[in-house]
Amino acid sequence: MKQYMKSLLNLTAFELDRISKFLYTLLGVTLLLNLIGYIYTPMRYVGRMNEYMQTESVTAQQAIERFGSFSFYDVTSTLWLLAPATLGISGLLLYSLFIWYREWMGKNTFAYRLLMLPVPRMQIFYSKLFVIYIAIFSLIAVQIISLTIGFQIVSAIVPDDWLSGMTLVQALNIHPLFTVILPVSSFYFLSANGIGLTFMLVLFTVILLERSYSFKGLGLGIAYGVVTVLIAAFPVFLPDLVQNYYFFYDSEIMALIIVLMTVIGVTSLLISRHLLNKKITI
Amino acid sequence: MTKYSKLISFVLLCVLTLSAFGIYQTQAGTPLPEIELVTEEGNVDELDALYFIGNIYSTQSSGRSSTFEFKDGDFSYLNNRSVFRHLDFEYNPIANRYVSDYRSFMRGKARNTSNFTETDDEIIYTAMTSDVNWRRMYDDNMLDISLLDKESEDEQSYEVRLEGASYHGVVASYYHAPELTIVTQAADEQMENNWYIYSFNFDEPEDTLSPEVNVGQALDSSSIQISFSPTGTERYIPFKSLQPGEEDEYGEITNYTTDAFHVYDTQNGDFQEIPLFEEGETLVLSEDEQVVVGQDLGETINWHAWNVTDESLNELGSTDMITPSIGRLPVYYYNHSFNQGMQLVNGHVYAYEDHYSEDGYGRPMFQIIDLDSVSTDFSGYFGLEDRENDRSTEMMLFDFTINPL
Amino acid sequence: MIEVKDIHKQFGRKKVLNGVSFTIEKGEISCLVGVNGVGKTTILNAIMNLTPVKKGSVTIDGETLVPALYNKIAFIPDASISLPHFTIQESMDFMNDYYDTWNARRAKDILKFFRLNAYDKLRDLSKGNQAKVNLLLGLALDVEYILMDEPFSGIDIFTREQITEVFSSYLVEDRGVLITTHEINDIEHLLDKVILLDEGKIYKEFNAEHMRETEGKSVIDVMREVYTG
Repeated sequence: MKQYMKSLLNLTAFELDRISKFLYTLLGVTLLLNLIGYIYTPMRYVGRMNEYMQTESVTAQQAIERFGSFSFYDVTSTLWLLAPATLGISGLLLYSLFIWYREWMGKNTFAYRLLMLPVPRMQIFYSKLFVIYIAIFSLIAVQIISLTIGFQIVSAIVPDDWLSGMTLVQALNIHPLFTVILPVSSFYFLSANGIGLTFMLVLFTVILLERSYSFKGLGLGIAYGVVTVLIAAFPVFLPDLVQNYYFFYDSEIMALIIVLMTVIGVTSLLISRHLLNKKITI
Repeated sequence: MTKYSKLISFVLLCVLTLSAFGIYQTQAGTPLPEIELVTEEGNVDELDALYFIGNIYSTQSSGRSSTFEFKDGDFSYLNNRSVFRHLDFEYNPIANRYVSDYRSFMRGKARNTSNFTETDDEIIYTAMTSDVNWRRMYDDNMLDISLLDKESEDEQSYEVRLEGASYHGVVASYYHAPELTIVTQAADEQMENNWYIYSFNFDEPEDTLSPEVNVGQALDSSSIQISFSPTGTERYIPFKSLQPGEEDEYGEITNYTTDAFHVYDTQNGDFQEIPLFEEGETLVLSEDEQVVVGQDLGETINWHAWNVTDESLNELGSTDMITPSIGRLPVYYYNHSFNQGMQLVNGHVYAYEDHYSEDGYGRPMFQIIDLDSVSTDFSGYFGLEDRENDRSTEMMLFDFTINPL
Repeated sequence: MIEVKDIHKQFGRKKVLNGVSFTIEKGEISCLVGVNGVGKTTILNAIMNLTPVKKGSVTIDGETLVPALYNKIAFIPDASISLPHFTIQESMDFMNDYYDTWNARRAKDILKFFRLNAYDKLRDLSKGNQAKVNLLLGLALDVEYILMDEPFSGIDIFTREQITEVFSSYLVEDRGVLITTHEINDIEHLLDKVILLDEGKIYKEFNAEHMRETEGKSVIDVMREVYTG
């Protein structure tokens, strides 16, 4: 067990090292673009207010009536924050493909080394999965830190009287993206992570199917992906199938989705293990 | 730098930041305001039969909104419940109570208040098949009736075809064993919306039902409203006919006035007209064998009992209302029922109003009148304990029910 | 003993291996020979569980290959098996992290023997030196069997001489070695067993020295007979 954990840790640390440059870039871009948003957006508002007050000779109160008071949500809903968050999500999604294919791509035949390591081959799978998750959570953590600092920056730029009084947590609570990707609401956060984890397990299985059976595997993989989506979404269509929208309670539909997603996750792990142990081709 | 330093740093970054954020959220999150019930008059125990679902929200932050319920004399916020319990929650107190107490019976049944009638021993469910299966919207004359024996939990189910009209929607049902009276809104042959009354006998169940009455024809009115039924055990069903006013500048008629009140006797199948008061508005409420008529003078209501035998009014007395409008919620021509704000249950009138106090805050307010003594048993409102310091929170009521049992 | 028993493999409709069986003993240097595409690399991959076979089995000292056995058998493929941005030292450290049988002292000896600089990055090395690093990473393991795929492919004559020297050194002593190569001339004298493949099967299995002594033919002569008729 100790040996098992040690090699798994080694592999995870090794994979993390390989992703680190990409991760630093994502974190850097996030912080930089966020910072621009924290400064530019409130300054533009303050500028507009001042200009209006000067040109129209009106009080701040009248200017607020014209432009509205400023809230942190006005910053979080700009592209300065949305774009890096979306970039992070899509970047890691692409990296999830790359994390496997790089072992085979071009002159890199590191797959030889990985597959000939005297450790259970599933450790390769787990280490790649862990690293993707460490990257996801690091992005989340840095986003949280960035938002906390950003809130202070915005509060410092906009005069208190012009602020709506919305707290950081309130601004995040009404945010369409951050409510899901940040741990603001435990229900949404757990749901997003549950779906995300199942998606990753299925994606890895699809990749391994392709790596094991080539074109045929790609077809199989796509079919597997489609089937898992249908299975996971099946409970949602259950009321339609039984032709009674009240036959199942929402909690039962939700429980069924959780059970089915767990089954999909475990099945994907078992298929992946079988493929890695018996079918993978260098 | 050991080979694990990067791994440890990233994991620590994640764990520490997420934990700190969790703690920050707990501390920064303003606790949900304490709700209080303020008694202005009478005994608060009178409200034990009240079950209502309300919401508090911040006028400053659209992100802050919490649903709460008042049940068995206690408040509780929904946020404190598990996700699974929350998922099954209905924003309809009656359905919510049934889902919680008769979960198995409620499986596969529509969850509107109008679908249920309850007595001490039984619950009767009446709904169109299309209410639970929207695919059958266009093939819908099938009525599902279920009768649950509360004690044995035995359920009898019937599927009945309604004749005489199409596209029925159940508006209300009334049970007086073994007879079930069903009021529907449906399209007649000219595809005009109309009201129908059917009758179903549990002792002699039939597969098809023909309408007992076409309400519109019987009352000679094209615009009818029915009294909201809190119990579904009334013998007499109050109907209101509306008189259209003049067309507005867009050619629409939006101005309707009350033309007449009638009560339908579910046992004899005939209507009696209740005369309108010349002064003030007329209110008609009913419960079991009783029909109560109120003369609404704003500040006071003069109560009368309607004598169905000689079709006369017997004065009961008058009550001072705590506001000139409590219980008399505005009813528009497009509503199909009236009396939502004033319900007669167990000989008591429960009057409700979302009252705006002098300080500008909305307060769900109740006045309970005992019709025997025509006196106020209780009056009071729901508010925030810390209203002085919490000036950005509003409260509203979604729905309420008075449990007659 | 490595026992390859009746393995079959096909790519699409093309049958590459059609019932191949042979054994490799410890202390023996064996060579798989055959023209391009005859399935030599596929056999090595199959032994190492790097490609599934349709039928047949491979055992190492009677055991089916499980990851733990990679401490017993090493494969030096004809491709880079470390990361291009790694230095030789980092590649060795990586091996040390996972293999119980990694022999650091021996690695140092080989590094010296090949005149390699431990702090050179792999991507900066010539193809010959990259091949040497591959050999280093395989030979420094205290394994009982070593498989090598085309160790002389695309490298200059001096490097080839150096690598040839390996086969007569202590580095392969007492181990079971299986190699595939086109450059059979350089090592023919060192081989204990030659396994000649043709049309997915073993055409002939013989001892090179014995063949020369009894029939006066070199391995190339035998191959010429088989492949050119």
